[in-house]
Amino acid sequence: MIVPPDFRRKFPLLVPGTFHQASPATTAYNCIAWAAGVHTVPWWPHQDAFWPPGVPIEDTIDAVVRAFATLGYGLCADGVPETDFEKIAIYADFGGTPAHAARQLPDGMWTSKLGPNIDIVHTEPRVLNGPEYGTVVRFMRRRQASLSNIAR
Amino acid sequence: MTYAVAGRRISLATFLFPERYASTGAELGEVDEAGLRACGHYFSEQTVSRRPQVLETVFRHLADEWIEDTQFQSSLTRITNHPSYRKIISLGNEVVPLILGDLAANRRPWFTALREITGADPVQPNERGNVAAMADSWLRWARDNNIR
Repeated sequence: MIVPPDFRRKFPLLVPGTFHQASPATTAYNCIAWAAGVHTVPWWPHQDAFWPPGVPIEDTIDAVVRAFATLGYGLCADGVPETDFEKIAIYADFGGTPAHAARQLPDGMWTSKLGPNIDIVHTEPRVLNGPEYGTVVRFMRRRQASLSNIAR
Repeated sequence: MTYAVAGRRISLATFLFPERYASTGAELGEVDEAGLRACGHYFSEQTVSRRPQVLETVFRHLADEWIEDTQFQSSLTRITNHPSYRKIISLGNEVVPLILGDLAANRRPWFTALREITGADPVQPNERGNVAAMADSWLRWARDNNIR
């Protein structure tokens, strides 16, 4: 695996053994899209990205929560694996602005697209905490109704 | 008028961005002073020599900073508000061919910069968010407007 420059500084908790690369870098989609199970367009409340119709086009956690709600997700307490549920984690920087989202895999691991960079599989959401993405501020879950349509 | 940089035994990048490179105090002061003169010449209407080379060096330097700082960012708001991205926009129409070259090669999110610089928006509503389709629309627009 080729570790991108600055990886250690930007993700200090992402140490060997907590993650592995799952796919190569691409600008075709981003973290929110990947958490939503989409790998054809980036999702962001911005003119140059997809954003679900009816959801406010604003850089707020509420808008991101409402975007995932369009996919059937509702807020939940934590990222502990639950039978028949799939979960996502939403991160915000230290100013409260959305910065990242990760998706739980059926085996309890998590998957993240790192902006225009690589996809990784990581052991738990908190290993991405740090200066780049801040911390997890919301967990959401939905019943595993359409896992066959979700990219791993 | 020629640039003060001409004939100096330092790289163009070192000359334009002395704060980025290690140097002795005396050398740095000399470079700073010369850099100010060169920037004055660069933005002068009379300046013709080396302008494309300087512009490309400035663009590449700013683009590299932007890419490095946003390489893990998904927020298009942050990506397009990065100081180096805004500086590239401030370079104006002359930088458009360089942006289009990078867009063609790397599909980076240059769409905001292109809209702001040119005032055009060739992307169709059904292409919004599709990076490849948006890039193709801009590259087609460039061909149609003889921009290369």
